[in-house]
Amino acid sequence: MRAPSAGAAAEVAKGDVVPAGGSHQRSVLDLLDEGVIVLDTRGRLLQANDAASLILGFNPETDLVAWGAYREQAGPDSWPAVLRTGHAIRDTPLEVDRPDGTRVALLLSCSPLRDPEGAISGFVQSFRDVTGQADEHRRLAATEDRLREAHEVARLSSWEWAPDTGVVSIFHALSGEKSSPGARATLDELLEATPPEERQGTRDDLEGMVRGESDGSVRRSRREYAAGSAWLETRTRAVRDGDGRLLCVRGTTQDVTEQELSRRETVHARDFFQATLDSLAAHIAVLDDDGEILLTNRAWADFADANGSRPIGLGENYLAACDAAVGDEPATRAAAGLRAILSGSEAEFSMEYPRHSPTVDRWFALRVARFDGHGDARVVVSHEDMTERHRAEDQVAMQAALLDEVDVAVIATDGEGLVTHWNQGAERLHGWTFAEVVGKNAVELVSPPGAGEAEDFSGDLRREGQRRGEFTARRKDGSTFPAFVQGRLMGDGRSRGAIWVLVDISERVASERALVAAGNFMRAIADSMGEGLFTIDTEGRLIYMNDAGADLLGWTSADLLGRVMAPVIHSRLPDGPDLAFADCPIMRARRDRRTVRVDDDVFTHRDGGLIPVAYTASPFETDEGIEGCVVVFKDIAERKAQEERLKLEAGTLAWIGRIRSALAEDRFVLHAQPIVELRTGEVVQHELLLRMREADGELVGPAAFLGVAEEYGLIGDIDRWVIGRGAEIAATGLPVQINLSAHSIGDQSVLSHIERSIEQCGAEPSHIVFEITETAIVADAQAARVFAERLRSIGCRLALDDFGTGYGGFTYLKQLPVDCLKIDIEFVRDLATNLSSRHVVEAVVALARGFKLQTVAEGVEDAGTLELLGELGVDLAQGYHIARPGPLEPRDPPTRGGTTRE
Amino acid sequence: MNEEDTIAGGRDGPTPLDQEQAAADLDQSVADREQALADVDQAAIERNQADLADERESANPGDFASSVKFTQRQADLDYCQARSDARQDQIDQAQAGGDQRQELLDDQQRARERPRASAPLSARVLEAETQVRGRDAARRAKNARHRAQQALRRAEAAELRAQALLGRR
Repeated sequence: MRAPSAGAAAEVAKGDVVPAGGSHQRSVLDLLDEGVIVLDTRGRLLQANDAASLILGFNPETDLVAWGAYREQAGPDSWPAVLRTGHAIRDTPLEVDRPDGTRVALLLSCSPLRDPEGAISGFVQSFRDVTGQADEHRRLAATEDRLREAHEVARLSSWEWAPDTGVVSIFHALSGEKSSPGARATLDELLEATPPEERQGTRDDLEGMVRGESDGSVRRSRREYAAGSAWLETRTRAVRDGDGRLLCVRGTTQDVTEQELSRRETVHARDFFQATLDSLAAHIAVLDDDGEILLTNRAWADFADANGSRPIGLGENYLAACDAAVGDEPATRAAAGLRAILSGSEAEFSMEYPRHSPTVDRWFALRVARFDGHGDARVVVSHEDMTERHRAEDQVAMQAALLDEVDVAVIATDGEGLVTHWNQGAERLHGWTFAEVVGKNAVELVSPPGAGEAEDFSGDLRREGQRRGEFTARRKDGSTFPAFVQGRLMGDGRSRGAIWVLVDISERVASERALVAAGNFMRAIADSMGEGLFTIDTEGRLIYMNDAGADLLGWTSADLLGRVMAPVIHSRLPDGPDLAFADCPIMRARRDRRTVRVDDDVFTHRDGGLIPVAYTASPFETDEGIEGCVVVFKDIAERKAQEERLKLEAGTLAWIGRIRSALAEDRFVLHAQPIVELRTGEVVQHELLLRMREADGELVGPAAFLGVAEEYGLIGDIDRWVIGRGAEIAATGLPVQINLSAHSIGDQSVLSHIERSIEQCGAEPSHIVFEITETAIVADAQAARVFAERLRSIGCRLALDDFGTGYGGFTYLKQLPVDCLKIDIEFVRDLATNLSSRHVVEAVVALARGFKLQTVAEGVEDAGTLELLGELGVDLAQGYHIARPGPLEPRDPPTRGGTTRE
Repeated sequence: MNEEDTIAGGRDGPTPLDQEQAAADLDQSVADREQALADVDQAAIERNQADLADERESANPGDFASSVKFTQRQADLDYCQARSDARQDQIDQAQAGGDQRQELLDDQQRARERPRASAPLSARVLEAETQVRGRDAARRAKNARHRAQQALRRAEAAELRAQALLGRR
């Protein structure tokens, strides 16, 4: 029979008033398995049963210390809470320490004791020892925790679906899942948590299991959560009974995000690795420890043997393929090397081998390397086409051999400037062998001691990476020579070396010096020439001009250097040909590549004056391909002047003959120009003007022959003829004015001739006015005075012609018996427009009046001038406006408007 | 002799002094005309020089053909200027001579007029004529000073042209 529980005792105590104490009650209480303690309203112990002592490990009734400790541990949650609330408490878990140090788990209940009035009179505490259950609970809780933790660690949710009930039991849910452990859901609810695109597939899987078509499935999907996305893998497994009937379907959903990402990384890395391999030109294969090909790149896949054999591929054994190539020496060596790698005796193996085709030689390099990392060891085999490198090496070798044949020094140095390479050309140029210079400072070797050129070169090379130029190099025997060197840094970082190429330029320097010397010599010759010399290029630009040329043209070389010479040497005369500069003789000489000589051309001086020149233009072409033209010219102005003089003299001599002939043949004629009196408008005189009739009847004016006549002593004869003829005309009663030359003024015989002519003709002397120029009078005033006085005594009159144009000083008029002043045309022509001319005419008139002389204005060409002359008081006037000179018959007086050819 | 006789000269007409003065007046008028013509020529030279300067300023400095033409035109203008300067020097010298001559004539005229100064009318006329001669003399002196200054300017300009020519060489 089972002992009554403390709860039962409390139930009794609840409804009935049970006084404290009583042996009956105690015996009952001692029968209970549960500990029972009766307390008063103050919590003082009244009674405790044996079970309480047993459970607590001490007798509460006797061990007051332990009892006090128990009361503290029981705390306010026991009888104080009941006292406070008035309600019992049930199965409150409590752990207390026993005096022996052990710990006991209790389920504590406490009920109030009431008196008949219902007031609380005490309390009954009952408790069960649930230490074993607590341990079991803890183990279960720990197990549950571990299970939960495992689920959490594994990111796993688990569920079970019972197809007969359709209920899904959730054992564990992932964070973020809507379901929670212990929850139950329908299948639709479970599928609702599945991504829409997978729901039907999952439903099909389950239904397939129900139908017995499958016993499980695996699905992986991506789900989006608020916190992000995750990859989940759902595995389902059908649980069947012995008859194969489906009992349930258990499923787990695991968060495989990391795995998925890792898988994707692996795939990406693998693809990247494959793409990297495929990008390589070399033919690469990865082998396992047995030589089986695990991986190849695209180049390997495309690789074909020179004989067209099929390349071995994935899954095939490369080592076996090498062994199978019997008689193929490279394959045999490759196999041996691969075995050494596979066995671990070697880490790397490489070799070069030929694979020549009938049309082209090809070279390949085989490299085999082992790498050990995570996982199985692997061997990498690569074949690289070395054909181009072989060809480049062959070419370099050939070039090096060529360089060794010519005198070009090729010197290589390391980063410290020490010689690492010294070709045969360097040996020949400098005299040292490679063995003597290797490891020595190149700058100290090739440059003379103390010279800074090489150091400067090295410094520039380090700064700029390359350097070229000329410097003085040294030989082993100490002699030096001019050299041209070009250097370039090679490599990078701290291991930069340099390579120098050096050429002996002694011959070139000597040639240049000779050329300069020759140029100086030629320049000295050119500058010593009296003729001008200049050279121009194909465009006509000045290259050089000597001093004589500069003097003749008025330009310096600096002025014209580089300038197109057209403005200077291509002068166009108004009556010359209109040639373009490119077609002028000098440019044509260069263009046609032939020497041209021109005896009469014109250059232009700097001041614009034209220089008559004669020149020779010769084309030239230098060794450097410079083309141009050399022109040697001289000023022929003197020659041309002499030619003009000769021509003039010839002309003059001709005129002398013509004058003499005219005199002898009486071919001079006198034309007359009327002179009118301004006051009356009547013609009062005629000026006789000389003409010469040529043999052909053509009339020639005096300007053409009078100068020659005066120079060659014929003027006196002409004057005499004019005097005679004029006297004849005057004898007809016509007052005339006759021009006499300055020569006649000093010739006494002329005066005699005048007297004779007048007497012979019977002319009235007062009808004859002799004109002599003011200039002639001023030239010999004394002779003029004598002449004038003699004329006055004869009865003739004297007029001063071209009056006002002398050089000033009219005082001679006081001593000279002049009758008339003829105002020069210079002052009459612009009388109406030039106030100065008017003032001169006024002054002449005033002077004439002062000396009681007549005034005649010459060269009246318009009515306004004629009128103005009258206003100014001029006495007489002549000019084209009045009448032109015309032939005059001796007995016929001339009329107005008579004309003749002037 | 009455005042008219003494004023207007002798009964026989112009005196030698009058003739001399008339000749001097003609010389002066010719000289004035020469000066006027010289002034026109000088104005033309200066105008051409200014035009050349403007063309030079607006021309392309790298155009050698234009540079040559400018140089030649400048040389021509320099030559014309030198001729004009020489002509002006001659005119100035002639004018200086004419001024001296006029001074001499004025002195002779004053000497001739002195005896007539006692007559009131003659005195007034003579005084007026003296004042005129005085003003003319002052004008001549002023013109002579101006001519001297212009001659100095022409000489300086000629020196500059010569230096410029040397500099171009």
